[in-house]
Amino acid sequence: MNRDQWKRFAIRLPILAALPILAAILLNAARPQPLDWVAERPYEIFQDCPETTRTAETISLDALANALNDYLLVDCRSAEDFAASSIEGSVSLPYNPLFPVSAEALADLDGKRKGRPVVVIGTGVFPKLFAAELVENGAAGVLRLETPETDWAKLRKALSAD
Amino acid sequence: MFPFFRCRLVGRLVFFLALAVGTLFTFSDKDVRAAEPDWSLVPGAKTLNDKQKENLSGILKSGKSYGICKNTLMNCLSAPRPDPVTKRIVKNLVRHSILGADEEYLFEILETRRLSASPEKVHAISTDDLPPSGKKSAPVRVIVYADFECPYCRMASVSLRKISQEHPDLLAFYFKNFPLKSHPESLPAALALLAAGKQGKFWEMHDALFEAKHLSEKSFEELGRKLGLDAERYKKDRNDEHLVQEITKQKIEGLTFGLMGTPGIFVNGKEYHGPKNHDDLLDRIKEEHEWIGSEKKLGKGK
Repeated sequence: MNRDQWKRFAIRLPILAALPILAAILLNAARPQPLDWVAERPYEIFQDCPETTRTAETISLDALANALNDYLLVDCRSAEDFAASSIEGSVSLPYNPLFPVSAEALADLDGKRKGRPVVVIGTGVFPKLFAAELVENGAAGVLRLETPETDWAKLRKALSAD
Repeated sequence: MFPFFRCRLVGRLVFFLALAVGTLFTFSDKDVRAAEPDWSLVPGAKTLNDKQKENLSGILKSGKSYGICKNTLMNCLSAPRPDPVTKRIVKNLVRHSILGADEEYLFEILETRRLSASPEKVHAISTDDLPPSGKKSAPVRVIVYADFECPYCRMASVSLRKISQEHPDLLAFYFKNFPLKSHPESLPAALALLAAGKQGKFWEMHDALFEAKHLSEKSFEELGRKLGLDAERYKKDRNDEHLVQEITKQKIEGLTFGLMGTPGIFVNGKEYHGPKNHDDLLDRIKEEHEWIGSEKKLGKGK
């Protein structure tokens, strides 16, 4: 090949290489669910969508019971459950599984806590989720119990002043 | 005589030394071979390369089966009549090894399989008002708690839907809503699903919502039109407070079972912890079916 032919070849080569790549990009974009850009991802199969990515600090039941007045207890059970049975000094702020906590409720909580840390109480996974949601919404000093309690009567007994 | 004796002595020394070294090598070679799994017993091993065999070797030798045979996977496979559960486990591990799982991951897969097949708690989940995909009388009942904006829910739910269509006598698949707060369109999508369900198009809407590229008010309306729903009724139902309560109930139920994200999958009440793709889910469903069969044989069935 002479010099001119080499020159032409050098110009055509990147174009020829780019054409199939372009075609692949276009075909991928036309797919209902486009493929990932990187073909060899790390082998990762245990994935899910978490309800929350934040977590609140924890406090043991004993530590809380010994310094009950230093904290504001936020009961995240339903308003009906709170009316039926509650811990003295606690406030009701029910956890809503579908809708985020409102700005008014957060402001109201700020007024009631008077600088004290907040401990979210309730049963099952709800206090953990609600405490995480409060943290996510910028609330500081939010805690939850180290070991989640499933039995409300037991928790109430442990945190009752008498 | 002396040189001859010396020569014989040297000869004998060399002979015994060679014998000792040979014996040593023979035994050490035997040890090495004994430590290697017998690949002829491993289903699907022919397709494995050296690296994949290396990754599998450790788990076959030390990973325990959870079928009738509770020994290591390799020992269970070496039995005269290998336990079907073990064969299923090994087949699955071979598949994951081919797909790129390293040794650590393979152990994780085995552990999640064990947890899924024999969990501490089996949940009683109601499906009374829900339409099944597959036959209601199918021996394996799978309930998924999912969010329409979660890609792993799409993977799981679409796969389960396909399995229930391919094997309607094996699987009855039920869908429950678990909209995440971080996904703004998941609650309206759940409402669209229940509203379509009121007009008998629950599964059609399920498929359409997971197929949709984007979820928005406009797309919900469009999907309703495509499915031939009564537009006015569909719109009214999507704003129905009762349906919001129904979704709240479904999500609280999932949370009560300890779900902290989606998808939550329950196979005959046993929470599934494995990969959410078609092959792994089908494998778990078939395993559960075999499990029921073996329990019936042993007289433990209902």
